Amino acid sequence: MAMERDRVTERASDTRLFWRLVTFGLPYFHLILAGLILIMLASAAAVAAPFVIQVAIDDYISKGDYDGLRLMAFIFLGIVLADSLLKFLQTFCTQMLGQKVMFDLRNTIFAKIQSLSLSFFDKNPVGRTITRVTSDVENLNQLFTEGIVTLMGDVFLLVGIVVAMFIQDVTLTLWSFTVLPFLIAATFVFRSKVRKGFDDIRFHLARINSNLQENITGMKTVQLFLREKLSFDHFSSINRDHTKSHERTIFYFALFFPVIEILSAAALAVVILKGCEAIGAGGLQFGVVFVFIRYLEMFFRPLSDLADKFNILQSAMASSERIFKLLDRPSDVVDRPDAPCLSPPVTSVVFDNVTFGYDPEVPVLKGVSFELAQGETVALVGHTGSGKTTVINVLQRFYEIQSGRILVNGTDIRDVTQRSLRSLMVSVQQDPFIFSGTVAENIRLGEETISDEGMKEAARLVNAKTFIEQLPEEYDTTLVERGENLSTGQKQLLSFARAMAFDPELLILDEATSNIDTATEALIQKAIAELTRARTSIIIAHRLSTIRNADKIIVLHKGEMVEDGTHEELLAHQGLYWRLYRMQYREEQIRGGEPESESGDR
Amino acid sequence: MSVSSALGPYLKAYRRPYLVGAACSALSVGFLVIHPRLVQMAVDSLETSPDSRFLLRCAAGIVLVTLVRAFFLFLTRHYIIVSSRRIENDIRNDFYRSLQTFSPGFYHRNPTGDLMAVATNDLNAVRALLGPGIMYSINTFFRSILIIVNLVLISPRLTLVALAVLPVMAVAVYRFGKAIHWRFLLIQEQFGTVTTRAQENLAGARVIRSYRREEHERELFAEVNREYVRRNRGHVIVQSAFRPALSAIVGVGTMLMILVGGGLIIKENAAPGTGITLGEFTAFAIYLTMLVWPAVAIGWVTGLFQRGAASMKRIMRVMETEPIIRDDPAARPLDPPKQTMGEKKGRGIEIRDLSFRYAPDAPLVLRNVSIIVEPGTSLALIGPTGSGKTTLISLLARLYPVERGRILIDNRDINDITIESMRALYGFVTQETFLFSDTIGNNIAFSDPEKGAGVTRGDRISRAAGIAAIDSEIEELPDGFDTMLGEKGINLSGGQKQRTAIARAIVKDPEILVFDDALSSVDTRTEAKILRGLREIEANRTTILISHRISTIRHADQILVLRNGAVTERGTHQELVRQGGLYAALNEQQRLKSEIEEL
Repeated sequence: MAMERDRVTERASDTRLFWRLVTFGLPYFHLILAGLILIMLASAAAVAAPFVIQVAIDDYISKGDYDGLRLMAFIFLGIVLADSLLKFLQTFCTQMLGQKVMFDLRNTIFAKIQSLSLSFFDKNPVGRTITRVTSDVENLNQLFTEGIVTLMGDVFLLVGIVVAMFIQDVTLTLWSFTVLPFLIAATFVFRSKVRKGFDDIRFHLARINSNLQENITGMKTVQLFLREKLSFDHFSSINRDHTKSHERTIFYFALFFPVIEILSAAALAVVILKGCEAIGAGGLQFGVVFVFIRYLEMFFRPLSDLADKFNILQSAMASSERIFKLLDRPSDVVDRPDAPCLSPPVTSVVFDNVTFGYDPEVPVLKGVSFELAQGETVALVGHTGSGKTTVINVLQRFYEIQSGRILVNGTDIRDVTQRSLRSLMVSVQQDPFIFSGTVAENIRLGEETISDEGMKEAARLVNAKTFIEQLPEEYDTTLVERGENLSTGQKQLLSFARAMAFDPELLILDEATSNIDTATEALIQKAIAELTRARTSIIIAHRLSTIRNADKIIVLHKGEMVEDGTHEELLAHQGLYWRLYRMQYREEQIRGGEPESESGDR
Repeated sequence: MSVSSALGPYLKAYRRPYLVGAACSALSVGFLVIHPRLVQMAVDSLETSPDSRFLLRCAAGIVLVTLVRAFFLFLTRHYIIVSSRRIENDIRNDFYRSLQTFSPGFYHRNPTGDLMAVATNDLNAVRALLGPGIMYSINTFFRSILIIVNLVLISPRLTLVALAVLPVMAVAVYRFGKAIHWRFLLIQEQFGTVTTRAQENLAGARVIRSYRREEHERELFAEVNREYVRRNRGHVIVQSAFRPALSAIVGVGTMLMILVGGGLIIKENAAPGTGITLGEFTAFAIYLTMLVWPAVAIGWVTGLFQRGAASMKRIMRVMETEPIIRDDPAARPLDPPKQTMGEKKGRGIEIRDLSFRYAPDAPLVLRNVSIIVEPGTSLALIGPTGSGKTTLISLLARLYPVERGRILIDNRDINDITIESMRALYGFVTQETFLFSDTIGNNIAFSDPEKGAGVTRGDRISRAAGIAAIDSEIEELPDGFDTMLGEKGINLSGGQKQRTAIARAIVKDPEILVFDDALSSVDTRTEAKILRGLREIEANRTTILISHRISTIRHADQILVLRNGAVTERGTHQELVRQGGLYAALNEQQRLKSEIEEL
């Protein structure tokens, strides 16, 4: 029953969705207008062609006038060619309109995604979001090119045919339209049956797909529990239900097309009977009957692909609903109107009693306060789940804190633009993200103000130069997606080079925990020292050497700041830091004994 | 195997409905070509004396033959399209069954998305070949022949003139098809680029926000988007021209018909018997419009066949993959377990000099590992990530082939034991917990589905849940054991999932229980409770535990430390702590860690 309800709400909003789509077409009003005019002209031409035949038969053939016949034949050809040309132009206009609207729509959706805060990505899997930009828009394109274009063309043509028939002969028109009520009834019944059938099919197909997907992902479990037979039985029954639902729909299709043929034959029979009778009575010329036969054919033809169009319309509506839902989603982090910009240099960073939770009910940071002065390096230390990463997330304002204040240069970061805030800082992730593109592009990230020399100098400073110059095309070497042709250590050095090239006022670094061979490890340590030299920095530190070199260490525990001070002070205190330090020491001992290995357990 | 021989058996199974469908198609065309003749008779009767009753008979005849035709049309669709759906059903089942025979290695090489695409898009294309493809081929065949015969009967000369455009049409359809096809490929390629671009942008969202690259990203995207539209433009032009071009060609044919046909009527009027009558002309015109569809259909149907064949190849590539793991012809099931005083004792496992790599050119993951596990005892494995622990237990269940070294269960090589009887021994709790979107009761009763519904306190399912320390949490759920999990139900936490998987393994009452880091998301207090419960049922089974936590494994009869695929330390907890190696360091580190956690 839930399915039933969904359908009703969907139908109610179809018109609303449609008008919203239309607004995307408004900038191309000229194309819409041109399309409409061309449709009308093309329909007129299509209807006019049989007219010529009528004249040819009644005025020339019957009178044995060869010359007149020839003239009519050429006029006919002219009209047919004009009709084809008009149809081509019209289809082209509408399809281009579709392309332009889709282009805008894709850009709009993409821009929308850029404006969403990171919390969106916590809740929405990447795969699903991508389909909004790709397949959903593609579905809409189908609506434009195959749905609306042909539908409009059909409507105008039908109207044109009816008009032309009335002009030719009113009585015969009325007679041939005696089948019309049956036609409308048949279409109506078919539509409702098929709609139900398609809903059914979609439901069963979704079941098949989710079962299949689940079983592929969980195949190991199925095999280890010897569930192959039972899983197959279950799948095959779902599969059978799907096939059955198709068979029911096929029945209606198998019935609908013959019914349309019967109705079209009935109309033909009526025209022949009444037309010939009228001719016999001398009230009608044969040419009229002849064109009526043609008009009837033209009239019935569009009905045959009604079901296709209907299908396209439905899936397009579903797609547009999903797209608009994304577009309507408010961003969780919004700039205040007329928020001022923050400008360099960064003189101070202050966390003042900051409380935050990804879920407001579950605070991850509980009243954290600390200060950072210009040029200082602060190490954040703490056990897993202590809130270190969250500190740097809220500092970059990826999330909005629930209470307290974060001040940069004495200004609350909620009062300035996100752009200007982030332009002061750069954060280096634990797991560096590499884009597909060249090494140079990965360092520069499209920032034109970074010169070639600047880029290379940055790579040199962080010890990335050596490995880059060993690559086949050095800085122009193309890296595959996620940098899978680089080692973990190389990826890190590359991401350091990126940070160095951007030369931020404030550096935020999430030190990697992964195992890296000793040689690269040494390079990385030197690079970190270079990056933080004379630069205000916040580091989530995992390595003892990094921690020891910090000006100040902040110890977090379960979202609270429990200790702070220098390495010596904290060790002397023999508190949590002292324990963490000893644990870290053990960990390095364990890690140190391990050979280089990049492959995980399978 | 070729596509046709792959489809052969399926078509053969549905030979009868296809043949009946083809016969019906022929009959439906047979009745299609009658009514233009009735129109002809009616029209020609006007020449002499317009007889109302004759006209009525003609009109009734038109409706009547169409009724008969409609009946056969219905049957054609009914037989052929339904059969195509049934074959689709069969192929999907066979595909599914073959998937079940593949080992994890196959699923590493073939991502789920790819397999899904084969099962949906490709199967769809094959279905289109088997349904509309075959149906319209048959229809087009009969239609073309019967109509051309009738056209020739009316006037060979007029036929020749009017059909002069037919070759042009065929060439046009073919050319357009080709032009559309390669443009389509270009578009698909760029569509892939657009998708990749979006994917990368989403995956790198954090870097992009942090470096404020949003504007730059928008430009990059707009660029690929623009290229996509540019490629579409070429396609749009060809696509837009297709139908109008066809109707222009048909128009030329019609014009020739009017010109020459009109001439023939004039001739007939002047001297009867030398040309064609008005009625014949009318019938000819109707026949000619009936011929337009087959001409268009040829191009369309060819496309269906091409796409269907390419898709069938992809389906076959999966279905023809030889499963790596399968029973040796000489394999026998294991003997029933030895029992002492009516109690099962568990199985003995021996691993002899086992080495393993995932691919011939991959590094060794296990190096000369030898272990003996006595029946009813417990073995624990500990070691850094990537040391080969999971690989080792995967080999125990023969998820990958054992090539160097041997694994014996109760002194029999596992390669000589039937897979079914061997896997029946195990209760596995795998590292990444996989639960199905079904009720929690059915998930726990995975090995014994009849017990999944109507779970009552004290029955096997609920007892297993009790040992896994998940029972009280399940009872608090809205529908208890009948609560749905997954997409259409609730989401369990990582720890709850693990405990459900533990219950699932316990319900199987396995002789060998395997825990692969199965308590990692469970807090230490619950862990202790589960371990206590397990010890009670451990007595009559062999247990293998993998963990990063000392607390999980400290009570095991035998603990092995794996490092880089080799056993580096072995002994009991006390012995290993005394040895002062990696195990001792881990023990110390975790002691400190738990101190911190307890603060």
